[in-house]
Amino acid sequence: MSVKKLFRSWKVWLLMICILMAIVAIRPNPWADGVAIRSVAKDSAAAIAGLQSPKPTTTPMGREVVHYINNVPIKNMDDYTNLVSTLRINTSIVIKTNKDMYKVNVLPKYETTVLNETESVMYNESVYDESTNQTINVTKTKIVNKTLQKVVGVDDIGLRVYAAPNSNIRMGLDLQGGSRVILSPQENIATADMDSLIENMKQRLNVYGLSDIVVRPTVDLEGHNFIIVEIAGATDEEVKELLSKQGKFEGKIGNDSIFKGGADIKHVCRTPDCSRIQECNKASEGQYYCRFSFAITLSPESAQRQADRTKNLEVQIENGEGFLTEPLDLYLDDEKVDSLRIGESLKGRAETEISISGSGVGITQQDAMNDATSNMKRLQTILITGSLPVKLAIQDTSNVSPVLGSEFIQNTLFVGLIAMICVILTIMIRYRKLVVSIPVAITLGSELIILLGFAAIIGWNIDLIAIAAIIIAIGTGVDSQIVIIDEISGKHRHEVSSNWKDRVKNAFFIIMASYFTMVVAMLPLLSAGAGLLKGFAITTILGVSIGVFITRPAFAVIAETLLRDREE
Amino acid sequence: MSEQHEHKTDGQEHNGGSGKKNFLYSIYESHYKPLLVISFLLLAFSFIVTGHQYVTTGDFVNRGVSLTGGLSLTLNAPTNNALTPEDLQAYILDKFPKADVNVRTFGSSSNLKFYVEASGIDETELIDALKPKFPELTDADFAKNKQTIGPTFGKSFFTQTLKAIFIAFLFMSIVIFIYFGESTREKWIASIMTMVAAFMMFYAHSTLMYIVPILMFIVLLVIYIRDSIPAFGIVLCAFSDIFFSLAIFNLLGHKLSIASVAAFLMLVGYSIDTDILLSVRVLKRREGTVFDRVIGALGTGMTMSICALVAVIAAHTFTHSIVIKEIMFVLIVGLIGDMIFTWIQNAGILRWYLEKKNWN
Repeated sequence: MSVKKLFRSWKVWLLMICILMAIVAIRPNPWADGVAIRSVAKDSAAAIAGLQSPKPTTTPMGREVVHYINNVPIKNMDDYTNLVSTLRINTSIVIKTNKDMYKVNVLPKYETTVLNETESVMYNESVYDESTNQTINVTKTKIVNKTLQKVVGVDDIGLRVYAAPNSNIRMGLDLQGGSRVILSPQENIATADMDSLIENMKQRLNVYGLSDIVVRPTVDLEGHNFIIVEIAGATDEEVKELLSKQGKFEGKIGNDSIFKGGADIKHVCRTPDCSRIQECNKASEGQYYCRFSFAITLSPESAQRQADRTKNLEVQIENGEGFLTEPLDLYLDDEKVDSLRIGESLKGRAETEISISGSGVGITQQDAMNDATSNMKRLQTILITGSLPVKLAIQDTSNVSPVLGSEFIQNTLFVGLIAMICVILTIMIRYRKLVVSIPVAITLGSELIILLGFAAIIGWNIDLIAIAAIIIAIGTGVDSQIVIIDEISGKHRHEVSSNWKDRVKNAFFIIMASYFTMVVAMLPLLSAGAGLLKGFAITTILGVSIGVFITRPAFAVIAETLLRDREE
Repeated sequence: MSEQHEHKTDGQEHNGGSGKKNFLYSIYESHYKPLLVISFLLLAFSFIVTGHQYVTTGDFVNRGVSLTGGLSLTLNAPTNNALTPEDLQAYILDKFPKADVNVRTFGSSSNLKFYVEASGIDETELIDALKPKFPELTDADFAKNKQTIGPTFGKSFFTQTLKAIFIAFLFMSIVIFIYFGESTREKWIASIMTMVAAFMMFYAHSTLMYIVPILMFIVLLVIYIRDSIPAFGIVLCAFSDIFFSLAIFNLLGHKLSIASVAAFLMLVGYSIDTDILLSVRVLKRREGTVFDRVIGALGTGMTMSICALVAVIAAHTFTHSIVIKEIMFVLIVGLIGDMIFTWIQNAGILRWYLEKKNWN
C-alpha cells in the first residue's frame, strides 16, 4: 500500500488543509456547558453591573458564557431559571462568566400610585438667556402630585440567555427557535431611503432593548423591496408590533398639530422617577387596566405652538379642578391613542415638560401591568427614534419555539447519519470492496465538515432548507464518486485506457457537466421570492463547488492509488 | 443495428443471472423503440394529469399556504385522546366550510405534533375553534410555532418561483448544448439568446412579456434539435422528469410549498446527472458497440440513482420536519422518473439517432 504516494499529491494536501481549517472555524466543543448571553436589557441590574450585549458579529463560541452565579454552577437553562427564581430584592449576586466577574444588585419592581396631595419639587431646566447669549441652568420648582411607590416584586435582572453553543455553526431560526418577520414598504422607496429605513428600524429595536436581531433588505425578481427581520431564540410578538407601526406620532389640539415625534421631542424620560405605571384598576370581572405615564421634553418651538393654541381656550371647572375645553390628542399613525386633559395652569404657557400617558389591559392585574409596561416601552421607543420614512406592511411572520427547534436538530443529525450509512452500505453491496467504500465514506465526511466550516466562517445560518441543500450536495458528491470509480476502474469497458490520467480526465468531463448544470439551475433562486430560498441556493452551490474543487480531486487520487495497487 | 449485437456483450454480466433478467435484457436490447413509445406515453399522461388539474382547479398545481397566503400552526398532540389528523381536518372544515384546510402529523408517537395549514380563516377564529380539541395548550402554546403569510406575498412568491424554474431550465439546457452541440456558431447564437431570454423573463411583469422569452425558448429548442439531437434528448429528459414528478405530485394530492419548489429546482440539476453520463459514454467513447456503452453507463448510472434513492427514502422516513419530508418526497418521485426517462427515453433517442447515422 503506497500511502506515501498519496502525500505526494497536492490535491490530498489541499483537502487535509481545508478540513483542518474547517475544524478550526467550527471550533467544536461537545462538552460546552453554561448559558450564553444573548442580550442585556438597557438600564437593567445586569447592565448597571457592567454586563454587555454581544455584538451581532460575535461568533457563537465568542459569546460571553455564564458559568457560576453565587458560586453555584450553572450548567444549563434549567439551572439558570431555577437560580434566578430564588433571587430576592436588595441582595447582590456574583455572576462569573468565562470573561469576568460581575456583582449585580437585584432591583425591586415598583408600582406607583398617584395621590391626590401635591408637593413641590425642584428641577433643573436649561434656559437661554438673551442678554448674555448663553444657556444657563436654572433651578425651578413645580407642583406635582405626590406619589407612593410600592414594591411589587423582584425586577428582572435583564439578562436574556440561552444554552451555551457547542460550535461556531449558526443555527437558522427554525432550528434554534425564533421569529422571522418579512415586511414590505407600502410605497416605492429609493435606495437611500431604504438604507435610512433599515437604520431606523435597527435603532428602534436597539432602543427597545433587543440586540440579537438581523435586519436585512432584499429585492425580489420583480423589483419589490422586502425587509427581513430575524429575532433569534425568542418568539417575540413585540417586535412585530414595534415594526409594523410607522411611528408617526403627533400631538394635536383640535385639528392643529402641536408637536410630532422625532425632531419636536428633545428628550424622553425612561428612568423610574419620571416614567411609571400608575393606577391599576379593575374594570370588570376578569378585566384590569393600568395607566402609564412618562415625561417628555418638547422643543421650544412646539412649546410655543402649544402656548399660542391654548391662549384663547376657555376653562371649565370639573370636580373643583380647572381644565381647558379642548384636550391634547395623541395620534400614532393617524389613529388616536390617547386624549389628555390640559390643566388650566398651562393655558397660554410655553411649557416644554409634558407628560404622556396611555394604558394597558389584562385579565389579571399583573397582566395589565405587563401590558402597560410594554406599551409604554414601545411608545417611548417610537418617540425617541421618530417615524419610519414609509409605512410597512407585514407580509409573513413565522415563529418557531426553541423546543421544537432543538428537536429538529437532534432528528436531523440522526437522519443525516442514517442517510450516510445507507449510501455507504449501498456502495459496499455494489462494489463488494472495502477499498472503495472507505474513501467514499471519508470523502462524504470531509465534504460535510468543509461545508459547515465555510458556513461558520461566513456566518451563514444553517436552517432546515439549507440542510436539505447539504444532503443534495453530498448526494451529488456520491454520484461523482461513483463516476470516478467506474471510470478509473474501467469496469464498463472492453479495452481500458492504460493511461490513468485519461481515465481521471474522462471522469471529470462528466462531473463538470453536471456541476455546471447544478450551479446554473440554482442561480435564479438567489433573488426569487424575497430571497427565502437564497440560503438553499447558496448552500447547494457552495456544497457542489467544494465537492468539485476540493474533495473530488483528492478522492480521485486516493481511488487511483488504491485501485492501482490492486491492479498491479 | 440489432444484428451487430448478436455477439455476446460484456455488459451482460451486469444483468446476467436469472432467465427473467435475460428476458428483460433482450427486450431492452432489441425493442427499444416500443419502449421509447411507452416513455412518451408516460409524458403524455403527465400532461393530461396536469392539464386536468388546470381545467378543474384553475391552477396546474395545488398550492399550499406558503404560496397562497394563510396560516400554519404546529401544535403538540393532546396526550390522552386519539385525535387523528383526518378528524381534525373534518372538524375544522365543518366549522369553516369555505376554508382550505390541511392537517398532518409528524414526530414520534410519544411526541406527536399536528401541523395545521389553513387559508381563508381568521387567525383568532381558527385558534378559538382549535382550543377545545387541544385543551392542554395555552394561548402562548398556540403562538409558539406559527406562521402567517400575506396573500400577496404568497402569490408573488409563486410566480417568481415559476420564473426561477424557467430560467434554471434555460441555463441548464444551454450548458448541455455547449457540452454536446456540434457547431460553434450555433453555440454562440444559442448562448446569446439564452441570456436575453433569461433577462427578459427576469424582468417580465405581464403575461405578454412572458410570451417573448417562452417563444425564444422554443426557438432555442429548434436549434438544439437541428444541431444536436443528443443535447435535445437530455433537455427533453429533464423536462419529462419534472412534468412526471409534478403529475404524480398532483395525483397524490400533495400541495406545493416553498420547500417543494426548492425540490423541483433541485430536480432540474439532479435528473440530468445520469443523462450526461449516458451521453458522454455513448458519444465520446469508441470501445464496444453503442449498446455495450449504454449498458456500461446503465451500471454506473443505476448505482448513482440507487444510492441517491436509498438516502432520500431514509431521510423521508425518519425526518420529523415537514420541510425536509416534502423535499424528499419530490426527490423520490423525481429519481424514479429519472430512471425511466434516462434509460428508456434518452437512451432510446440516442440509439435511434446513432442508428440513423450508422454509427456504432
